[in-house]
Amino acid sequence: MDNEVADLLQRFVAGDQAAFAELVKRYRRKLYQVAYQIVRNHLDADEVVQETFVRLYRKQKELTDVKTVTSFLIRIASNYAIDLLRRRRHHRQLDPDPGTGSSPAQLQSTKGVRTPGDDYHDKEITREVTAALSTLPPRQRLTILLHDVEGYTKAEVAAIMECPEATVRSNLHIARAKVKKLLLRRFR
Amino acid sequence: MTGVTMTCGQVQALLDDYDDDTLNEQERSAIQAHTASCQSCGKLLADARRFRTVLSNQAATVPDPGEPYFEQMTRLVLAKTSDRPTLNWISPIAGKSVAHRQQQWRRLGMAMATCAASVLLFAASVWLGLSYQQTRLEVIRSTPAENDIRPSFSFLLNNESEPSYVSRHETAMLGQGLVMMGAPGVLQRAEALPFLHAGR
Repeated sequence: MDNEVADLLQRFVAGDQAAFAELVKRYRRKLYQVAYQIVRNHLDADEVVQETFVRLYRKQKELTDVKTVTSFLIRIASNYAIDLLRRRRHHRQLDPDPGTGSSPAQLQSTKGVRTPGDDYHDKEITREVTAALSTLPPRQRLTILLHDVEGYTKAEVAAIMECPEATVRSNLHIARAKVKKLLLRRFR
Repeated sequence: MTGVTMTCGQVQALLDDYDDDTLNEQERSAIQAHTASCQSCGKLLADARRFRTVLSNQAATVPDPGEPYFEQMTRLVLAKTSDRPTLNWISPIAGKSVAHRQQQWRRLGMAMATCAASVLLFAASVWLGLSYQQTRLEVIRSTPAENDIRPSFSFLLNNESEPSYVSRHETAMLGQGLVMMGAPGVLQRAEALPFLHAGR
């Protein structure tokens, strides 16, 4: 664990409000990123992030056992986001243009030179991947998002999801196969 | 360590870990050697990498809500977790999420704008009514008494001992004004004001 974060956590557990504020500042963007990937809209992502920090605060006295704050926070956020999705009981409409306002996709063109056509194609693929991911069951979706999108290792994902690494591998394998199948069906 | 060879099945089972860079040097070398010589395993590795690149692009689909949002959200979290009493009883939107608060403030702004527009419209109606009565008074003053043909409505309202008279032209104007402004109550009250008939 990062020494600075460990120090912040220690001060927070001791009742230092400034340390809690610093933890919020440090993790707010990361949590928003994960929350948005799951719920796919700003309002819910905002609710998830706030609720996560409030829950962290309420667990102040129980935090002595937390080995990595990152895993702990992402676990709270992702569980809350999945609960939120289930409570909604319907799939929200996906962003009409997920690529808008974001950095362009970094796919490699076969010719090595990017054209406007390539960018359009990349956005189309990204949109279809978003749609395909939204069809996955919550746990599989979370696994593929954390590992393949956010770049966490399998061990980290297992720690976040509180499950064996073998389950992460299995979820990942199934989720990727489903997404590939949907994409092949769409682009064939 | 060279010389270790793997079958296609062994390589394919480890491709994901190879891509994660979690294998030891020996396994990594064996896979590199195998994928360089085996076309189908090489293609599998290339496909897997391309697919992961496509998936990793999902991170770019998350919009950046901006630093002001994160600052506001942080203040709200700190307010929720502080020991001070919340202001929920004062403001029904205190303690809600930032986005929810922004939505509520927008609605409140719209409602206030509508109220302000209504007040302005009412004030304009009153002003027009009074202006009209002022014009009417001038017409009455400038009209010879012999042209007056009917008593004013104010005579009936105020129980004046002597009726004041209005001309046909002025009665027609009054009728048009009532229809156009749609504020007959305002006009009647204005008409009943005694100063309008002062000087007759």
